[in-house]
Amino acid sequence: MFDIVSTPIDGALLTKEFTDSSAGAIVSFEGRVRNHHNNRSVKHLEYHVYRELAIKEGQRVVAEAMEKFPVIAIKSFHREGQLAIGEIAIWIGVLSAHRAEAYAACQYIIDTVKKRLPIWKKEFYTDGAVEWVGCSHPGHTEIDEDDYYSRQLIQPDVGIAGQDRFRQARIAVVGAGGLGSPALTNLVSAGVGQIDIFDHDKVDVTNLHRQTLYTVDDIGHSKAEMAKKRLELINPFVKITSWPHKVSSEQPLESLQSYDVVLDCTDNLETKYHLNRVCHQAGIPLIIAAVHHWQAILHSFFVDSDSGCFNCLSDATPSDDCVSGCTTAGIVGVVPNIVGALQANEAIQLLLGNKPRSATHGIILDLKNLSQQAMLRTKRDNCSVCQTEPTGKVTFEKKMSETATIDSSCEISWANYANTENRFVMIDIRLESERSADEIFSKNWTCIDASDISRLKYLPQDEDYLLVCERGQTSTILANRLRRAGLTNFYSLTGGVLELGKISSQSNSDTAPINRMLNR
Amino acid sequence: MERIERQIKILYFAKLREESGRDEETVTTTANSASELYAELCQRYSFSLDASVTQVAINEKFSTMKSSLSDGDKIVFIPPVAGG
Ligand SMILES: [Zn+2]
Repeated sequence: MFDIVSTPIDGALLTKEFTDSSAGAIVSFEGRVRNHHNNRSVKHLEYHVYRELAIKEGQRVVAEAMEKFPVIAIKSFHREGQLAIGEIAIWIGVLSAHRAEAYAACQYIIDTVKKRLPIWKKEFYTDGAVEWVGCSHPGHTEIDEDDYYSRQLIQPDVGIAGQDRFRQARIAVVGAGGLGSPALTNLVSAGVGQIDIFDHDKVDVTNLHRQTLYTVDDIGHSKAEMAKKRLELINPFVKITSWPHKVSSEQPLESLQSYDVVLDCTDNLETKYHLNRVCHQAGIPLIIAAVHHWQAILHSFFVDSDSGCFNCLSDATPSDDCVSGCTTAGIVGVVPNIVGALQANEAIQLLLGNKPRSATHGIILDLKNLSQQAMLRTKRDNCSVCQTEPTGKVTFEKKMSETATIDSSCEISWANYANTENRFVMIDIRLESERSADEIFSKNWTCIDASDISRLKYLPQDEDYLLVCERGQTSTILANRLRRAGLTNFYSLTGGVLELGKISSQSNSDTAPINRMLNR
Repeated sequence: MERIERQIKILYFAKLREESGRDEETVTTTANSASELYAELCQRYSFSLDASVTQVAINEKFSTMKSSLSDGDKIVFIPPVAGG
């Protein structure tokens, strides 16, 4: 339970009265008013609370902790009103069978309450000054990257590994208009590690009905820069670079070789053909889209395929005279918003290692009746672009497999594990479906789902944890992720459970300790 | 050369849809190739686009304008589009 109280909190009494005969541990925490803050001497303070929401949100935090940690009961109170030095501002008590979960749950609650509850602190200093402290308000300042992606991580075919692939990717989006707005928004919120935005235009009032990244305040400012500003608010964990110039042969794409995918979200053919040429030469996948009234066309071009390039599609290169862009033809905002989001979808499929249908087919959509035509593409024999050999770009798959082997300092082999068995707390991060009930070796392991990163983070830090998965890939990615967050007490078991099967079928001096361990 | 009559289903997109005033139609034609058919349609609808810049897909496959036609083919003429 959680409540807001306006009278002094008696911590000792609460601890004494909070009992359960099955509880082997109680962890209680008292947050008290101290007499200094930022080198200023504090006389007293006042907590202002939005009661209804704070109670609801506090109860939600307690419920979350009950779900995350196997504890018996949780109680917490936060004060409101005027408090003197030394008074208790917040009290948290956790009852559980064992101490580890109680500590973890208690820490989770204080951290989360500080972040999420609508409670404001006004400090009164001894010199007579008064100040509101940005200590606890419905918080954006301290959000956790893993919380941000938590709903995406739990989808089985994304998972920790998929999220890591997004993080390692760098995508260039050329054109931050009608197609670019939804493409950028979706790529940035998915957590693509680095995004480069190219657009030489300025925001115009006539853009706003379809280019949803911009507000009326942005009119007259650079699209690339306004888009960056907006997208950084949407996801602060993505590195966004703006390039406010037109992409052409005179002003090429910066850092071309470092992109894993390029999205063409422009409204002119010259740029589309230019991007097709440079991406083909550099060996970078290119996703092109265009819209006209209710219709749209979508292509993904991969260099190492026999599906050809954008230039293969017509015998001559059309000039911009034969097309009418949105400016003259007219467009309803929903059309580019759907199609740009589809471009982001195709890029996401590619990052996950799936081959999108648009890689082999031109997809023609008619949004007036939601009909779709998929036209198979083939390489044109006399295509001038396809005739030039791409200069070997490292594909995203290759890049991923290389980075996966680089950071293996967290890995522990089965042989080492068998020799240092007692050093580690074993954490089984496999899916329920991957575990078999008759496994003996894993019966004392703690099961925590790989996507439940916040629970892993709140494990007591005085132990070393060895993560185990099916093949040792997810556990290495996860251990590295936790290590990046400063938790160097996480390790990964090389080769996972499958490796164990291989080892135990052999019998020599190297495998002896493992077989001893298994037989025990 | 003998002129054979074929029934061809045609789908129009973007500018060609506007200029022909229809989404699709089935025509009976003696055209042997996509480019001959396109020339016929240019006469009928005064298309503003040159055949060389128009993309064509026959039976769900991107093809060239020189490709020959068979009875019952489904043809899609796709003008260049750039809007975004
Ligand atoms: Zn080509």
